[in-house]
Amino acid sequence: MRNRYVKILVISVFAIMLVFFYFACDRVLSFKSTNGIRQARDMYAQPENSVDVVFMGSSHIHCDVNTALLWEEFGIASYDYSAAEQPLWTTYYYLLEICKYQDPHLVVLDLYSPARFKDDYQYDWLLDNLNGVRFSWNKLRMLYVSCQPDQMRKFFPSIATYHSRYRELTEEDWDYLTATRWERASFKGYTPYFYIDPQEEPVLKEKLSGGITVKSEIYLQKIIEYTEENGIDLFLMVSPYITVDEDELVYNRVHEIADRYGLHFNSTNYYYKNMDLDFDEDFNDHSHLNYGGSCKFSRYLGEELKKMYDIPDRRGLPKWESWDRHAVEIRQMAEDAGLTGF
Amino acid sequence: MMRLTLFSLLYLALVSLLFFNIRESLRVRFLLLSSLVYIFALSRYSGEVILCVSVLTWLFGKWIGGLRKSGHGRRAAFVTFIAVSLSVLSLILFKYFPVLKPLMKLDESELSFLKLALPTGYSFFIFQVISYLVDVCRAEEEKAYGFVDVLLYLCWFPKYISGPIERGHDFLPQIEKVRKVIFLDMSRWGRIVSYFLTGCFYKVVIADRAGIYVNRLFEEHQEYGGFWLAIGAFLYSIQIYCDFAGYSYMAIGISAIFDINLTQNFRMPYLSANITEFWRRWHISLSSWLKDYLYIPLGGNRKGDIRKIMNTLLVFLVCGMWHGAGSGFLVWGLMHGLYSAVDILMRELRFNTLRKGFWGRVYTFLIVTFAWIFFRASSAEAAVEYIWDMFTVGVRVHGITAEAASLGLDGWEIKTLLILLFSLLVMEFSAYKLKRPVPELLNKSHYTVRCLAAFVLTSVLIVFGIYGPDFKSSDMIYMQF
Repeated sequence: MRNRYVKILVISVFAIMLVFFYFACDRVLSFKSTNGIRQARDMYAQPENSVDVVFMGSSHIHCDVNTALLWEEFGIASYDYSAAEQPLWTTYYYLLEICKYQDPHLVVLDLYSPARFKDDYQYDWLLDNLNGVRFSWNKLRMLYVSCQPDQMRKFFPSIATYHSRYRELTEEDWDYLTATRWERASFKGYTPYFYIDPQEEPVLKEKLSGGITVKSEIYLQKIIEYTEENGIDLFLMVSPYITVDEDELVYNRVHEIADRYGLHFNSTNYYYKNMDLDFDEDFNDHSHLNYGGSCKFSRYLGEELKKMYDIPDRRGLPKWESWDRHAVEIRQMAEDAGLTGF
Repeated sequence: MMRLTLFSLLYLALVSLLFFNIRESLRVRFLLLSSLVYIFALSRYSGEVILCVSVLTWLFGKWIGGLRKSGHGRRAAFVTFIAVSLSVLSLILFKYFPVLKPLMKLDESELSFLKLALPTGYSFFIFQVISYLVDVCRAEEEKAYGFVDVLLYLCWFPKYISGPIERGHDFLPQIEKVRKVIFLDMSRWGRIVSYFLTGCFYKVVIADRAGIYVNRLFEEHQEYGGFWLAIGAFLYSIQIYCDFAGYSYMAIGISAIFDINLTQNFRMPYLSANITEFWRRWHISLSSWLKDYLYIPLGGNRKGDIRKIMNTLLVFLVCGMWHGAGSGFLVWGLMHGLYSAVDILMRELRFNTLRKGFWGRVYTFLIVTFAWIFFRASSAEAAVEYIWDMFTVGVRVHGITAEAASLGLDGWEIKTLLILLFSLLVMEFSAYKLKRPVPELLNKSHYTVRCLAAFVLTSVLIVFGIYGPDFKSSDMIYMQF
């Protein structure tokens, strides 16, 4: 009898060791990309129910929305919960996921992805959209809607996609093994670009509406209904980039949907002058703002959000100290890039 | 073994869950249903063919058994001959017709039966059919097994795709135990885990890793020097062994969940001292089948040395043909026939330098590896080209590192491969000395050692396994047969 218990104990010890080994491998070997994976992973490290505003959508969000500036100048506790080229169906499940751990007052949704990408299954950045999300029934549904059955093995389970990275590990990978929740909490999704690529200001003339796919429109409506049912404000927007007529077609359609549901919608491509955006200095590429541009846009956005919504000012409160650290880190990044005074 | 995919493993988990939660009286039928569902899921065409042939096998088995028991031995033998001939004919048709079709210039659009293709796992399946019918005729199958039992024996899903080629008298009596097996049996789970993890290690960590470089070397052999081509041949020997042995171990482990013990298919063959020993240790279920149903009926070694050598050559020719219709397989089979004939002569002449000890093992491994080149290459011609390049292109000293880079072999990968091959050698050598297959060694060791081994194997599998979107480890080499 005693032998049996000893046996069970030994087996249990090894089983626990295996579990720890698995999680250690996951930490070290996983991709640390800031195209969505880190945004998703570090959402789980945020203090519970501390995020008041969630910015969602594509890389336009985590490049353009400066969460550090929003904190320092407006006291807005926000998080860029986005990923590269994120389609609306993925955004819907991201919304369900963040609402498990946070109780946001406001969701700000950027609509670039449904305007630019029309395929019902988009694989280019799917890995960055999926890998940071914890395994759950929600993730399985996200996977099911995001890829066809014969493609699923390329994206699930997550460890299959990165287990062979042992040959290319960097210091960042090993640091992540021992990174505490407290350390990870200072990441708020925002990943500034520091390159300057002069652009030509687009001329907006498209008046017609349409062009949004059925699948995108279905999931936009799901997002709208979910936020309505859960008492969350929803703000639809388009962050600044070099837009084209085909994209404007979709934004006009989104405007119609927003009006139908009584939602605020702001295609900020109409308000470059209000932001004082400089097309020679403020763009990293045709699609993303650089650090300077993101500061201008975020300042404009912060003012608009404060006007339209009742967002509490959390500055000085102990629970939100991670935003102070976040602001320090972003300022340091800017100084390292030789950029100050934004 | 089933195809090694996430969905197969989920299917296995579902079958196991349901198996242990349904009424005991339904278990056997449930396993038959699960096996048929699995085969149909692989391919509807294969499912239909297998089901028809299985039903016919049972009917013939009943007929033959009935004739034998009623004293009509000659009629039973005749019916057995007809049934076996039909089985062999079906194998030849399925295997060789698709290859001969283009040469016969037949119009497929007019004759639908011309679209014959080899059902998955048919070669293994039909050999089981033949062994069952012959054993019924020989009265080695005394008990008359029911429809469900016989079909389960033929279609059992863990062994369906690539064997082992089970004998009815080994498998069928175990079906009764299936009804009574309990879930919580620590010793059985120790066996399951030992076999399954060892199998995964062999297949997913070693075989599939070797396969990456083997594929490049064989498909682009003109780009590489003799050194790497020789390495390619060596790696293929490792790949095919670890692939097939790994799969066999996994099949044994999975079957053990349901308390069904499958035949051991490999016993450290690359440590054999001569080719005769090699064939007693390699693909044991096939070599014993060929011995019992072909070699011995032809006269075996009872009709003198010349007849023995002729029988050996014929058996290996059939062995080569069983593997495939390509010229490479035929040459491979004939080479092994020749090797065996030479071994017989060496034994007769008491020339044992190359039949025993270290040199015997080196010689045996080298000749087996050489023959594998014909097995792997797309044809006998391609194999000859490969061998020609291997021996004539030479070792390009400065080219070795550049060629390694073009193969994708960096320092990390070379070290990983060397460590894995060394581990394999240690495991195989220990198993050879202790006369037990590697998983059995693990299973019989102290539970602390077993737990540590399980931990190490699983950890190595997680990190170093060849799986994921960049690899396709699910296909096993012997699946194509």
